[in-house]
Amino acid sequence: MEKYAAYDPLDNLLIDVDDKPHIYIIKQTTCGNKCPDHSCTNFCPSRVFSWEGGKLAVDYTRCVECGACQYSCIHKNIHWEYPRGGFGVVYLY
Amino acid sequence: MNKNHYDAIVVGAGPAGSVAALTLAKNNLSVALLERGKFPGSKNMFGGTIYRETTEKIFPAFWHDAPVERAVVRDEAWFMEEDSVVNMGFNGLRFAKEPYNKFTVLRAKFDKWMAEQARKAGVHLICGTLVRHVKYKGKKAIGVVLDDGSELGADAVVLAEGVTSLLTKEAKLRQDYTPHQLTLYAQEIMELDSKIIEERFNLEKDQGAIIGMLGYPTAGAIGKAGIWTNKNTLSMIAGGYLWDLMQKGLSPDLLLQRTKQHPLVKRLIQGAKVVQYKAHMIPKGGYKALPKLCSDGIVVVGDAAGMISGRRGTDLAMLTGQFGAQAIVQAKAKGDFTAKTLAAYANKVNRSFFLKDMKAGEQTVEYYHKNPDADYLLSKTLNDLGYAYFSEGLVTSREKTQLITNTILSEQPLAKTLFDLYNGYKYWEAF
Ligand SMILES: Cc1cc2nc3c(=O)[nH]c(=O)nc-3n(C[C@H](O)[C@H](O)[C@H](O)COP(=O)(O)OP(=O)(O)OC[C@H]3O[C@@H](n4cnc5c(N)ncnc54)[C@H](O)[C@@H]3O)c2cc1C
Ligand code: SF4
Ligand code: SF4
Repeated sequence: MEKYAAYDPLDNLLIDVDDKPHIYIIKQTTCGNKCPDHSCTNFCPSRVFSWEGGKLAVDYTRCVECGACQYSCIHKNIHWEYPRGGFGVVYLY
Repeated sequence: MNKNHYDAIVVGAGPAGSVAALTLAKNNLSVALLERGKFPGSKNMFGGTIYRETTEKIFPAFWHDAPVERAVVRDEAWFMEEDSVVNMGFNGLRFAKEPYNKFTVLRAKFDKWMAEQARKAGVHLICGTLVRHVKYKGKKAIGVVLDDGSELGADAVVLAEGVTSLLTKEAKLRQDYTPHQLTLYAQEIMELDSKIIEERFNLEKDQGAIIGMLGYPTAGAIGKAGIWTNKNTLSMIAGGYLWDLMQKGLSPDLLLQRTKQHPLVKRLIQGAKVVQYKAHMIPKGGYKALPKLCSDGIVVVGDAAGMISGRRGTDLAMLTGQFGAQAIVQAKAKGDFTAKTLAAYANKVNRSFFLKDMKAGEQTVEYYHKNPDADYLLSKTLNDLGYAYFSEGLVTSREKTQLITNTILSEQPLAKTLFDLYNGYKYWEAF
């Protein structure tokens, strides 16, 4: 699977980014101490989450609003809401 | 013109919401249809095919006016391995003419068109507006709170907010989803000249094909891939159950990239230019996971209500949108919007053909949870058989039969193989 990782889905996507983040991690220490897999860094279809320097980094500007992460983190550690009306992903097709 | 009180407010302008709003307006109720996207369809994704019979009930002879892409004449199922495919399909040229069977569409165009039909019927369509909360007086919903903090009042609220359904959850009409109740898919839409599409897929002008794929695409995870032909684009999806993706450390976009590399898929999409990426979930909890469909002043319709059965989604969204709206029309006539009156909607859904299908489909959900490798094994066995059967070698047909039997037996004990073959065939269409 690694060989496809260079591909970035965001090359083909229009996102009107809200300046206010709509995703945040409730408790960083939970990611560090209780979650060896960091599964959010794998399944998120637009790679919003990454494990960097012992911290879970969240780049909300990449989010395609599929809604999966809030229901998938086994520690319920992701607060997710919709971006404000009119902001976020704009599918043209 | 902005008012601040309506007979009904509909949240979400997908198929469920636009049909609900249209139905309400046709019955002379004042309606606001609120959509968080810049325009209806700008947040939405599906495979996709819309089904003529249901769509026509709401939008008579829609294909003359609506932005449909191609009339589907061919449905194929591909059971895939590394370098082979066992392929089952049906060609029905009767489906190329009226009354048609189903059409491929692109959501950014088609959802916009449906909402436009609602607007023409008098619905107040407001886009770029997120509903943050439902507003209550006691237990009864009396309107909504928007993301700028302003409020709109209504006698009834229709939650047509799709799978993520944060308001349905906030209203405690459903429990939190588990990753077992959701599938997650990624999609690419790729531009390709219409002539080339017709050549490669063996179609005439305006005719369309669908290919559902299992086995290889999901690398052992429980999921599917698929290609739909549009006028001058191809829609391609791949994905699977969320819990399974999590467990295997996979993402749907990687599955999609993998599927595109398959030698037999590659030649279908060669030269096509990706113009759109999308990702979306499907509520796949089945009958057992259905939320409560109504409460005082609220009805829940479409994906928010878990209305998915096999490959059907948009049609059940339209039907539940219509049923929900009809219950509100009756409630308006009675002047009573309590759960007791609105239960007419839940009762109608409970008696519907699709709920019976969903009850029957309950087995699918359980089957995949118990046999996560079923699709993969099915596909592998079929392809091994294909090679065994079609290889021209120096063996008698008796020896060949023995070889084929060995192929089946080598994969796993026979009873499980036969069971998987049968079930895989039965459930392959459950995206
Ligand atoms: C990969 C995939 C393939 C599919 N293939 C098919 C197929 O081939 N055929 C088929 O019939 N179905 C298919 N479906 C299912 C189909 O897409 C859904 O069943 C259908 O879109 C549900 O319609 P809906 O109106 O309930 O929800 P949606 O279409 O999701 O619409 C919900 C709308 O509500 C808006 N919204 C949500 N919350 C708010 C809020 N708080 N405020 C304002 N607006 C809000 C959203 O922006 C959206 O426009 C597929 C789905 C997927 C994911
Ligand atoms: S899955 Fe949840 S707990 Fe684990 S790293 Fe991601 S956010 Fe943190
Ligand atoms: S909503 Fe989907 S795309 Fe956005 S961060 Fe969560 S998983 Fe990723």
